[in-house]
Amino acid sequence: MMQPGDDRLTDALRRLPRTEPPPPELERRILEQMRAERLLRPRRWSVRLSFAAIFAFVTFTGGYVAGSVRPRDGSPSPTHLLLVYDTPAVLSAKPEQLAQEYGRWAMQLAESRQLADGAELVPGGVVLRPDGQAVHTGNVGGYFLLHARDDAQALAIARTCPHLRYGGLLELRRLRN
Amino acid sequence: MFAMFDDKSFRAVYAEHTPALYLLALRLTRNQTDAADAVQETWLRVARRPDAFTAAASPRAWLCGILINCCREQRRAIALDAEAEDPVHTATPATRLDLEAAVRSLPEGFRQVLVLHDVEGYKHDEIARLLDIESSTSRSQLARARDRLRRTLEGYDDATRG
Repeated sequence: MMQPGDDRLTDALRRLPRTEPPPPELERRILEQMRAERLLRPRRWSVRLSFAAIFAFVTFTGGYVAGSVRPRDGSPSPTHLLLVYDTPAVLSAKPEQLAQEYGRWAMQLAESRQLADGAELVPGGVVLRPDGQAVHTGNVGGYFLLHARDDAQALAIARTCPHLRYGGLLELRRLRN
Repeated sequence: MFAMFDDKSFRAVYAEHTPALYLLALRLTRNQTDAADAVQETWLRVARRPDAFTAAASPRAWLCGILINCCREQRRAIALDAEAEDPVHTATPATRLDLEAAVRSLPEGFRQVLVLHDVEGYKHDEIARLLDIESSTSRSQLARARDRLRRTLEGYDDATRG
């Protein structure tokens, strides 16, 4: 055993274990709390797959059918912005089913020259406060740029978006051209 | 671009750091429930500032700093310190268990400095930053903690010989 003044004391302290397995349920507990506080980037694979299907479809099928869905010289400017908000409901939808519906929807818009552009947003954006503090946000999943005669037509297009049927939210804004 | 954990990346950093955090928390709180709570709160604070975690020069030191704050904020150590004034001398012969028990019997201030310096390997100026104390305080606390630890271990020896 160690004696007073014995330098072996510090050696023994240094040799004490440095790790111990935490309780098995602790990880699950923390993950649940993180999800509840929206501190965890949501699983995006279903939406990512959907967007991939849309834009692959738009680029190849839409481009073939409608000339081009991306703005280029001489093409009219988009009139409306459709923001796609993820919700737990839409993130838990079956990805294959969602992708099929998005594909059909995008094809119809591309054929009627109502879809100008769109993109999925990388998860994990920030909102900057006036004091410079960055607050994490992350539920805007992507956007579409639409061609519409007026707000009513844009709203009618937005209402056909499959995102709504799966519990997602949309925000429609007219662009100031 | 902006750091944010997803399920997979969080599980990876959790697996890498939590066993060390948990044992440190156990030594600081002397209580499994409090240690688990402190570790949970630590990870939640990290998740609220993931950019700071990923930018930290030493993620482990960053985590330990947060963990120590969480343990201190629990305040339960204050009540337990009253017990620590009269450490229980067991006759358990296992040296490591004696040493662990003796460390856990130290009052909070001694225990924090001793664990961070002699077990975790932090330097006095690092401990000063972690605990928000002067480096000289860290040195004097360590000397007193070691002295008290030796006296406690003598008590174990007497008990086992007795």
